[in-house]
Amino acid sequence: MRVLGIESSCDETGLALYDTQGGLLGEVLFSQIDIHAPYGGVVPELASRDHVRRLPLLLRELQQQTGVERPDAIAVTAGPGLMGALLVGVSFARALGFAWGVPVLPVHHLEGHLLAPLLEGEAPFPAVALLVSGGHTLLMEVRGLGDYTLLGETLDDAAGEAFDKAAKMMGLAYPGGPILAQWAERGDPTAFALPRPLLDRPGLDFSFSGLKTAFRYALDKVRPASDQQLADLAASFQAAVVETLAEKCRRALGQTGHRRLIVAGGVGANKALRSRLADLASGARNREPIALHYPRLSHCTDNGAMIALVGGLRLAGGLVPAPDFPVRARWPMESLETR
Amino acid sequence: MPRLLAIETATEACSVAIGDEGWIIEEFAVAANAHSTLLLPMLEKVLATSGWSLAQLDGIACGVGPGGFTGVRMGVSTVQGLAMAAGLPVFPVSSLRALAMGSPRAQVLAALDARRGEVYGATFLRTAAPLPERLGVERVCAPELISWPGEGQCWGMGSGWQAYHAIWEAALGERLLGWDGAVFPHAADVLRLALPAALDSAGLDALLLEPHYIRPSQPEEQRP
Repeated sequence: MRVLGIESSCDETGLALYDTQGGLLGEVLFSQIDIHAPYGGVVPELASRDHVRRLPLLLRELQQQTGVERPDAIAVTAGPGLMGALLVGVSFARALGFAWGVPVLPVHHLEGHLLAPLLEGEAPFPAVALLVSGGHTLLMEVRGLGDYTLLGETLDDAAGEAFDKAAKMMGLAYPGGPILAQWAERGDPTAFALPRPLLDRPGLDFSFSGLKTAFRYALDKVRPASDQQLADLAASFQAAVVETLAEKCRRALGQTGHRRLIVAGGVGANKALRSRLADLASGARNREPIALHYPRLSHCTDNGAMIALVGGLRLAGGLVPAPDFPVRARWPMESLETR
Repeated sequence: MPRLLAIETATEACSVAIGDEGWIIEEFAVAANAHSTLLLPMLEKVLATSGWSLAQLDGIACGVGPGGFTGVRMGVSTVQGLAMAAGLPVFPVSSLRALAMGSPRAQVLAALDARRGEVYGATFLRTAAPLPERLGVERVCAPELISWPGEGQCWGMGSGWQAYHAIWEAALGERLLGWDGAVFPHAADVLRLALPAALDSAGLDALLLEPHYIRPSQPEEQRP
């Protein structure tokens, strides 16, 4: 069965065609980074305006790329995300489904991220999943398809958001997170003592706003900063985020007893995080090794393929979609209906 | 004789119509924030009543605004999806012009409340042609700044009148015969307005259908 996936929950428009037997047949993506760059962050109205322009163009492109005019089903991100942006994708999907006479399935955006490793043919469950991006930071226990428990999440900023905000304070271009990470490579991560929020307390929640404030104070103290000081600050900041993320992963693995860790979301591409998690996985204290699962880089960030995949899995599992499903800016993942 | 489907979602009202030059069926509801769930059931209903399938149509007309950004986008995205899947051309129609179609008088001052102390407005004339012709441009501005081009007796239509009638009553004096602030653009009028274009032209590729916002987004307006 061939499933068209549509993703428009934030600042990326992504479409893909996924075959439940043959895997991914094609995908197209447009990133709005350049549109939002002058504002230093995603502007919801501009995001929605671009999705409307882009969706039909990308659909035509995907049809030409795959040679498939009409899929057997449509999967569309129905939340969580920017309400206006979600409504554009859902309206488009519903209309296509109506005219083609094929079912339309609502997909939870974060479930797409969690299951993205399946696009590589892996089925790494049960597992702990760390989802870390500009919009989300959370730890989820994944026992199987549709069987999730939230272990912890950020109480304020997402990790990627903290990266971008720190980069903005340093005067780096938007989105600055990856550029900050490049600066960090040339710096000394022990040069500045920045806090490791919530590490001294039990539990699996995150908090990054205090770290962000500490970063601002440290930066203000050394202004005007030399390049080396900036690099040291960037490295110290990154180390604080990475250590916090890695420690919570270690605790989550210990608490659940699972030996697999899925890492998804844009920050999952961060080299320092990957290196720290590799150390964790091969650590001497482990009775048995921990397997790390990353989606390919292009599937770490938002994309249509992961949405098509979840739709395909749901259909295969016998889900009969209700045509009038709600669109939700907020949508707790544990409330997913899988039947 | 072209057979058309039409969708209008630029205001609190949501409507879908189907028909040709001879007859039009419409489903209409005033239900803010429910357009997303209303549209397809309405569509199903008018298609069933007409006895036509999408494949038997010659095109889809779309009220493209101005109006509520989210509502306009839902209509445009829906029309894009239907038209692409069914291989039909599209016909964009101004929601202000559709609003003017409902006027009992020849000269119509159509105004929709644009929030933030502004209105979308334009003057339309129905004297010579059966369909309203626009005088001047459609614009978004503070209600005091609308000049309402045209002369002679006129009639006000739309939510903008509900909000700002006192300003315009004072400015227009005896020219103004009256106004109705509780009227909305209808898909049936969007369809009527698209019929001449559907007779004369092949219409647009769905890829080219865009919302008619008039107003830039707030951050764009505030950029120095």
